[in-house]
Amino acid sequence: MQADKVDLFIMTNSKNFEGYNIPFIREKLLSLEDDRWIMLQTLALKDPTTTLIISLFAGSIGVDRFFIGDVGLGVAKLLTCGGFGIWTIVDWFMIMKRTREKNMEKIQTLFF
Amino acid sequence: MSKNQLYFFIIAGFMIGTCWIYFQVYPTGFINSFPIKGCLIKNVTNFPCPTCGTSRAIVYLFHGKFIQSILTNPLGIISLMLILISVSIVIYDLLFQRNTLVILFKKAETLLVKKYIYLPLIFLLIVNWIWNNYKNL
Repeated sequence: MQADKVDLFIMTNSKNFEGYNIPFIREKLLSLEDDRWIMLQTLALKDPTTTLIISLFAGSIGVDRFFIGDVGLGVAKLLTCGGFGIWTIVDWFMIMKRTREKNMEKIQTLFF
Repeated sequence: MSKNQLYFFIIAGFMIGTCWIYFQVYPTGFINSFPIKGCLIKNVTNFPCPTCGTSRAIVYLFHGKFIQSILTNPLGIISLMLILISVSIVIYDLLFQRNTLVILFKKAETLLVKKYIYLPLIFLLIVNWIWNNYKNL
């Protein structure tokens, strides 16, 4: 893939990934074929800030976990009323990192 | 989520849940002195959340009062069944070195993201929520 396209993607999406993953993503994208560009654009990457806002307001019923695609944990969180209120508070601090990890899992399906 | 994480999560959840139910049945001074107990929605807005009353329903189940348990919250039976089934599968997996739970978990996740499955479930949950408000749990 062309370097300017890759740099454009990195610039617009750097907040959706962990900082230490970005060099790896750039390297992999450069070695990718050009026809994968459309697939890269259609990946539904989730914004960590949006997830944090959802977690603050509806974390008690597990909406944040459903939103990023952790359906199994979402059901567990819903049925225990947000993990008896404790898991909700823990997730206010953990959910941004988890969102970035899920985004990394999504983009890795393109590479391999 | 990796296999070990899933097992750790289920066993930890089972232990915390057991302690929670124990303190619901035998409340002690230490637990009663907490300013906030359980659900954040209930404490902040004073409205019950969709799953309020689950622990009361489970306590009723242990006393053998099935009808009262369902009238309190039908989710009590469902969550108790889920917990018991998943814990027994974890024990089976650990004894016989299998991956049953991971495979089942992945299957359930792929099923639950389908529209014709999750929309009725969400509808049932909302009906339950309205019922909870009506009952003033």
